[in-house]
Amino acid sequence: MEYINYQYVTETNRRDVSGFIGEALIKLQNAQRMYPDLIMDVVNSGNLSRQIDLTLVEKQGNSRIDGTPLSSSAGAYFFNEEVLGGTREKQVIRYINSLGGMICDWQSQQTKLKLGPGIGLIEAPPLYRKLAYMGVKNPNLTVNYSGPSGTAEAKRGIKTIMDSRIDPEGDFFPEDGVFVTEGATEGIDLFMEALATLAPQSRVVFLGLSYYTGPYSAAQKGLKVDRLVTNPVEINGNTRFFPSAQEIEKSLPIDTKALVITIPNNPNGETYKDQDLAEIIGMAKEKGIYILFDGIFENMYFDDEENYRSRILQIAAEQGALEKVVVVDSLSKTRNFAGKRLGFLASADREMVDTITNIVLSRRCNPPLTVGPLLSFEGLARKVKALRKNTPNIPLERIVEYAFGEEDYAFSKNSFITMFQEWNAWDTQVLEYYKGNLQIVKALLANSSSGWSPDEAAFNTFVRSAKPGSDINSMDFLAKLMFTLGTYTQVGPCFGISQKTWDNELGIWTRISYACSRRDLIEALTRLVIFTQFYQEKNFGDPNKFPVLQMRFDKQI
Amino acid sequence: MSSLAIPDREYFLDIKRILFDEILSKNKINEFNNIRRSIYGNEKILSLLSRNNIRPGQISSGVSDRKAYKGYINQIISDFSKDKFYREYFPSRGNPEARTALSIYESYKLSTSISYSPEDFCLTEGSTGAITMIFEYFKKNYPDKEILIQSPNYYLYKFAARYYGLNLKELTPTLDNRNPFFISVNSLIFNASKDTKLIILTNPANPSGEIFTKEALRKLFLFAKRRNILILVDELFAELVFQPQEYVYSDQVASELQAMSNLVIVKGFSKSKNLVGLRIGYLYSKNQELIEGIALISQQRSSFSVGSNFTGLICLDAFIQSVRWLSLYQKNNDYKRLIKKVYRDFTPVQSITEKTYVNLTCEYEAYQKYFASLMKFYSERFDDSLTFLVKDISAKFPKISAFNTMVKIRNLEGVNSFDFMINCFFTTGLKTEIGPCFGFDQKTWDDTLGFWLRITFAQNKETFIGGLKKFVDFKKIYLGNRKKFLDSGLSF
Repeated sequence: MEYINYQYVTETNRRDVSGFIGEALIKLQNAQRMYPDLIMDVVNSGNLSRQIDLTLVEKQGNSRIDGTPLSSSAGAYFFNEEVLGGTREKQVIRYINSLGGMICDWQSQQTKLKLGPGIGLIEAPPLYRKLAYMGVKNPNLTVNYSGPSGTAEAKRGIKTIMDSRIDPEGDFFPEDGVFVTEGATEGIDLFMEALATLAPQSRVVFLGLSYYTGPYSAAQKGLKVDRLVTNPVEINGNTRFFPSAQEIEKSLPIDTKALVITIPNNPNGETYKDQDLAEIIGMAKEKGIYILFDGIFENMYFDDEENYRSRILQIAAEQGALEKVVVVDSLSKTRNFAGKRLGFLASADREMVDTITNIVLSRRCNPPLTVGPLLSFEGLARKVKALRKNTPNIPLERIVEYAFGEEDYAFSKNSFITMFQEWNAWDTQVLEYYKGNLQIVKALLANSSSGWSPDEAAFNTFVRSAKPGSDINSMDFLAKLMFTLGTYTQVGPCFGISQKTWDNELGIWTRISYACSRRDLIEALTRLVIFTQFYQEKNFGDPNKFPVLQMRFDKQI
Repeated sequence: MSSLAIPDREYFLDIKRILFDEILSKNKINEFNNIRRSIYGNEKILSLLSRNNIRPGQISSGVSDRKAYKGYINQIISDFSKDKFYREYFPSRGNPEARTALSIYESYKLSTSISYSPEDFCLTEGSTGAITMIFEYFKKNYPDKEILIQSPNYYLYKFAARYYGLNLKELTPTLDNRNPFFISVNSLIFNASKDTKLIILTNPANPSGEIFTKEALRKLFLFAKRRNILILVDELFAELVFQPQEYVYSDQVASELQAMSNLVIVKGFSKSKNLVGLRIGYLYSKNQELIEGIALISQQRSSFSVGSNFTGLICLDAFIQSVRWLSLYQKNNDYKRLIKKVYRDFTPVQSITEKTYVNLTCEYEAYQKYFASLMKFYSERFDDSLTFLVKDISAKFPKISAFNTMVKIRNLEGVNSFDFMINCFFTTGLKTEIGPCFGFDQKTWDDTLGFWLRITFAQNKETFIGGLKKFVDFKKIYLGNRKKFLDSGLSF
């Protein structure tokens, strides 16, 4: 996968998407003639059979893949990441490279491609480099320790980020209720550990689909893990997995102490309506249940009117139930800063705050201290954006003056304004680019996909490549796509629910992340389309005709 | 003559109110160190101090005010500017390139038959992150076993053991007034029971700066091997020994005795590199069961190890330390030849191979200058501390390693050490860390071990000497006017 810079994004945005779609369709036509042959080459060489045998061997003894409580939390995800993405990947790529000469344009492509990369490949706005320098260059920030939840500057930044999502002029989260964390993942892990301290062995219920981290961490802390998914509903051609508020109310186990909601959801980008959120929050308040809100994809809505606020936090605040909502967030997706592990957590619940403080004190004493300028900028920028939405006629300079107040920052008001404009432009251009990529996904998959997602927000979507009852094993599909066309993806079971349910009732769903270059996206989609056709037309999953990877993750939650 | 004035009664009454009504009543963990930190950080108390023109200062902080080597800061900035190491997720053990560099560096110490692989390493959030991951592993796998720790020691061990509900046994040090020692392998072995599964040492010891001899380490590892005990060696200060040839690395000894699976080492960039705020730590071990367990905990805590985005810095430091180690321990003064050798060994490390030989030589030379000046500075401050406290010290440790030492203060027998410490702060603004911060209960210190003060001799000369003088002055007026000071009636 290639990294792309902001200049590439803006230049790409100048071109009409329909031009890209036209080129992509021609490419798809050409590939129709070549890629099936390539797949057969791999089959006939015996290499597919060898790869499958080796995979089965590697599965043995991997406690995360089979037979232990670990595999019940996220076995399919671990299989995908550790076996396919880990040990098999290099061998597969080496082999496919050796076939390259047979296909005229294969060598010009990057051999390995990811359909659902977890990282955005557009580089973060350059202003973050300046802010990172400020943190590292300040000697006080390299030679000192600070409090367990971060420096005062970093905490002020996080508090502003969180408060501004409710009301830029309000004061909602306590100063000691915000924490710098190692990515949102540590935020989730801290929450689970705190819950296990406050209510040992209680139940955590995940709503809809989710990334593996939450269930994995909860299971490790001795919590009971459950998942509530609605019988998928198709509305306007888009499939929804979130249970309704009424469904949650009816089926929530009595020992539930926490609900986990990721909005917009990963992998399918779906959200809740305000009415549902209000009912869920009301129920949580009444029953004394925490809601862990993972907001990592929030503020990436295609409707920019949504990108200055958090509806779930606003509704919780209106209902006087903010203390029931614990928020985790990070800059990994919104700013493509995944490796920096810049996460944060906020809670207005005194018991939760004290428990998490105790955990972080015991766990690591202090988080990195050099992130203060970056987080204080991020807070201020979000506050200014929200203030501008509320008061569009007031000049930016005056809003900045107001937002700064009497506080000191590592940057001046003037340099903030310059950085803010750069930050805002990056957001606009990147969302525009994602929108274009999503159109390309829809166009290229129009004839092969049978299910779509709501797509209210960037940067993942989730599509159905085969209908239920097609007698396709998700894991065989996933593995063969990798073994034959060097294309790495994540299918339904990687996001929870037993594989049996996926294969028999939901179908073969694939996550597609379009936060990558158009070249990579078009090539990866081309491979998916051709592979899917090949799989169905040739009965590629029939063990009487081809080697088949017989892996199942039916115990998953 | 002392220039210190005793604050008035009203001032102490205000302080007492804050102490009891706000700090003690609200603090859930009423433990010596926790209360000490709460007092030093309490905004109302700080504001009272400020109104009385008392400026906070410190002589025991455990943190150096020396800046990091400039080349390291430049490396980080250069990596940021090239968008390196922050965009992608890395494996839960940390960036493989960083782990490769560390494995090459740390392998130089081992006997030739054995070497580290990148898989033996895990990057952590400071060395504290490493320690608590080992404790979490221990909690999962050996919840009923016992941990022995050489004490006094870094407070976090005791704090984290309590958090994880582990059975941590502290060993009382042997003390005589002339030649105290806090570390004793014989005592560790003598006190190990059939349930002992983990033994913890810091080498060089914090706070005393002592180091273990080769003979002592051999004895310990033979014992650990026989009894299947894991030894955690915290080597955070290992590069800061004044006579580095005297320092014996634990893995050198363990490798000679084929006891590598009994050892896990914890290190970090906070003390020896003066990069506390970056939170770069790592642990390494040839015990694969432990390392696999740690990788799982790392994945659960953060999915992808923090510290990976400082890969360029970690690789550069591993390179420089490799050359330093070879020239020190192999007594080879031809560093340019050594740089060539290490450069060849670092072939798998792209962050190093993309630099030129000339560039690396310049980095090495500049680092050597920086480090020599740093150690000279520490050495002078150590001497300052003994000079200014000469009449007040009744026992001390030899000058072995930077940047902490501990001294016993005379004439404080029968004094409540907590009251002395807080009154010193309320009167002079001086923050101190004393015996109970490093283990045992306060009674053990006050009744048996005496009043011990940690001195961090890593601060600039003026403030450091000013702090020592304040301490001496305070002791005089406190002992002569006990009734005029706050009597908390507390003992932890």
